[in-house]
Amino acid sequence: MMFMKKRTLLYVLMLHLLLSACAQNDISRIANLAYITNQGDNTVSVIDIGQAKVMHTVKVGKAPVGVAVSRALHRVFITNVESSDISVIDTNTNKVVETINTGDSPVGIAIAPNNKTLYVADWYSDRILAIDTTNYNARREVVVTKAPAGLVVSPDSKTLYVAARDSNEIVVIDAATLTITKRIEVGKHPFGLALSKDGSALYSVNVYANSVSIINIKTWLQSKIKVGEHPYCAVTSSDNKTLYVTNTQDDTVSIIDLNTQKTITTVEVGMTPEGISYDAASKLVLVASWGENKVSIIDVTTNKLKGHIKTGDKSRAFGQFIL
Amino acid sequence: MKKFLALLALAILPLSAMAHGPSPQKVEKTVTIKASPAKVWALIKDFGNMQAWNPNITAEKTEQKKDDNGDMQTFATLTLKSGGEIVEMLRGADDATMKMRYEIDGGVAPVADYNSFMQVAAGPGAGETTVTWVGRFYRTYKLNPPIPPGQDDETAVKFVTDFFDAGLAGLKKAAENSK
Repeated sequence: MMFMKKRTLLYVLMLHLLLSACAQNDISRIANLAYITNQGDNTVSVIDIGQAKVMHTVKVGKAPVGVAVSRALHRVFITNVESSDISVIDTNTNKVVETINTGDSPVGIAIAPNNKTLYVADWYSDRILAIDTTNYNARREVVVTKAPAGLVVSPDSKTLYVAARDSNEIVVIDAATLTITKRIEVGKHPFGLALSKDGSALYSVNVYANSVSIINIKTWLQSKIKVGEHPYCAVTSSDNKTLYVTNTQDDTVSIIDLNTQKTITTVEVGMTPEGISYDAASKLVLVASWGENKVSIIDVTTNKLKGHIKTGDKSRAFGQFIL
Repeated sequence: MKKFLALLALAILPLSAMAHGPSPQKVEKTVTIKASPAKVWALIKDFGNMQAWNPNITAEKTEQKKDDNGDMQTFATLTLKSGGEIVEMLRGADDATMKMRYEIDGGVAPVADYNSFMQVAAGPGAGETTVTWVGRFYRTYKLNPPIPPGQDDETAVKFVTDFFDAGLAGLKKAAENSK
């Protein structure tokens, strides 16, 4: 630097300023939002992940549980199990713009990657609703087995997977015809589901068995990994190498290497961790802590707890909650 | 008589095998005790002797048997002052963190899928101990509304709240009065 000409130094400084301005721009652009349902106070906390704070608190229906997000539609869908409806949040304004009446007890929710269909699992009536996102009154439904909970849709939007909690199986549904094509027995009481990014592996979190089933969806072969006490939900890293599982009664997250199918480490998080999502942009995993009314943040580069963000009463965030 | 029959009906149902409601409930209570953490922890970790400090319980007997996963566990059958019995299973008592975990596996408690912990910590003042008792559970009614009285969230929450309040008051008394 000492030997640099004055003008060169000026250029370097200007370039530096320009770059840091861009970087700052990037940060605001990639700062994703997390939508956390708070069962106890009937709200959704909207978290700016980049700033690690709650930006909005949105009033929704009664006892909100599930979350599905759509960047393309600028919408977030929230299942309210006690008021039997879905709150539709406009992500531009973070206000509820519509309420979809489903009847009964909507819990699990997922949107097809093509954004055309919203799937809702009805806990007590054992059925799946398929709602057209361009016309919420256009609905189809299929009865599955007992207590459908977690839902995931294949990357090509052609297949829906349902965790049927009380019949200990995964129900595979053809999305076009809404017919059941297969049933796969897993461990006791499957609740949360996750899918690898390419859709080739399905992960079922088996609550009573304290395990995760890994299912190859081409061969339907299954292996099981032991996790903590009463696991609930799982999510994969964006490179598909790692699986993160919430253990509700150990207050931990199991971090699993998917190549070796072994636990790398177990991270202590807030009490009763339920919903979990992976934010590729910030390389963070967010975990809703039902027991302590907050979100715990895990840094995926170190696999360590980074901190917490206070949310509302009894945070659940069941589903893919990062937009 | 009606109440007795309702309790009897609940007692007959195998709680652990039941589906539960969609929204878990929580009761969290704390008490400050003028006694050392070691003394309070000794009372709590003695899972087979809860009647020594908990006035909700008039008698207790324990047995070792296998749980649903085939693992050997300690089960306790508690006779309640309010009538009936509750079966609990010890999930662990850790001396390092002074945390005891248990679950309810059957009996008259109007709750489903109940799990709970009691934790002992020093403070807030010198020579004081804080005990936190947290329960997570569901109502027993597993179908859509209308929910029959006695099987709803309110009944479940009230039962656990009353049990914790009386239990912690009893724990305080037992720890502060003993030598």
